Amino acid sequence: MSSLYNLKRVQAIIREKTSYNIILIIISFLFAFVLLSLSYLYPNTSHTLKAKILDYSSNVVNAIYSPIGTINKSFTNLNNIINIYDINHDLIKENENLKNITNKIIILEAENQKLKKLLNLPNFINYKYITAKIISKMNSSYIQSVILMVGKKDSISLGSPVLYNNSLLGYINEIGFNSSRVLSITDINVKIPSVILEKDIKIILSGNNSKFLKILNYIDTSGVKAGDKVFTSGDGNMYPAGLFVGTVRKKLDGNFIIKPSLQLNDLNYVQVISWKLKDRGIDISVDPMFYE
Amino acid sequence: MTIYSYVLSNIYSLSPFFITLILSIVSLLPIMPSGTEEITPLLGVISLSFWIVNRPDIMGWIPVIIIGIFNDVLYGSLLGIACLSAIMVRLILIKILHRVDLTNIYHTLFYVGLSLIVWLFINNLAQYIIYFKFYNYHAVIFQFLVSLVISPVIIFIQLLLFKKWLFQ
Repeated sequence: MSSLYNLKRVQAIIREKTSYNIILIIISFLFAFVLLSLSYLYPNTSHTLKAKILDYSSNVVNAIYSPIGTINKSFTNLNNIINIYDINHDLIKENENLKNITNKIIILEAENQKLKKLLNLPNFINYKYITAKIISKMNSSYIQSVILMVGKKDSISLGSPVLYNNSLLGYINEIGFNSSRVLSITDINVKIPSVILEKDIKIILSGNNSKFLKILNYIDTSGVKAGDKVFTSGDGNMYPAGLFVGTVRKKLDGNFIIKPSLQLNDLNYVQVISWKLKDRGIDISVDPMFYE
Repeated sequence: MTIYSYVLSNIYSLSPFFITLILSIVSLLPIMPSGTEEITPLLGVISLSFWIVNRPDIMGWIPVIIIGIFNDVLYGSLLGIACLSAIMVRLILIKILHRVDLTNIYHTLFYVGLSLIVWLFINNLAQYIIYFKFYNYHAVIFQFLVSLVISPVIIFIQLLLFKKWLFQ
């Protein structure tokens, strides 16, 4: 058996030696460089092509994901059972805190409604969203994204914000008919106009392909302290205002970073907001050029 | 002849190609414990280098290019980066195979290690050129080490397939 296998292998290598063709190598390299250049120069065409291939392979990815996802979930459940006393202890404490906060929120909400009535402010827009299943998670040192089992057929669009329980996770970066790719807020290409609501400090956050976000434009650090909550400001019409982004943390060197409230990798389902102009309350006939 | 009939009639010779594609997909799934996703082993690259070393006639330039493009699509990186990495991996491995005549199968581990270095180097270099900044080099080093530790398992399984089932 072993000799037959070795014979096959030797034959294959000899065949490769005799058919060694320098032109084929040059063509292969040229093809790769042309592909790279074209996708860099025409990102939209590249995204369309990638979305098409992703669409065709999404069912296979989903089929392989299901059993592995179940095994992974079982391990998480097992870990939860092992640590059940610690988790329960933490939950009791958290529950007590939440009860206090809920009472405060009820009072604040009533006050807020009264003030809104006095100022005659219109109601905020209620965004429509759909729930989507994550079928693959990619977190390398140079890209942080996941693939969702929803696409154009589910009425989502390019740039739609992706969230979970009012916490921002990312946005739709590539979209096919059946599937789409979410770029995580921790990806280097993502910038988030944000605000520290308690202090009314506006900042721009950027991912850096790690588990934290960095502050791009912040100069005065006197007002900020560790533990401050950061929300989306809604500037630039990229994300709705008021979505929770994360909490401020102080590094050993004194600089501030933001720890995202949720990690895409810990979730199996996410919510995708319908981000069409009409759904955002924008009247396209007023000034379409500005928004498009 | 349709594509399906072609695949069915050449199922044995196309197996390495499909195994590599499936292992590339598996790399994207939650196979690592929570918090360590960044250092998920590059199973697709391990498989790719295994088949290049053992059956270079089957894992030719075209399958290598297709696997590269498929990896680009799955990873969401710029189209062509993984393709370039895969071509470079094949070129280097074939050059070594031509010089060091008919090496022992246990040297596959060395080839896999080399392939992983080439793959990670080209991928990260391309990202550096595009974004002018290199992040998380620790993650890259650990991803290489984890892939290298996992590779004997993948090599062993594929060797078993190669000897007992495929190419009889």
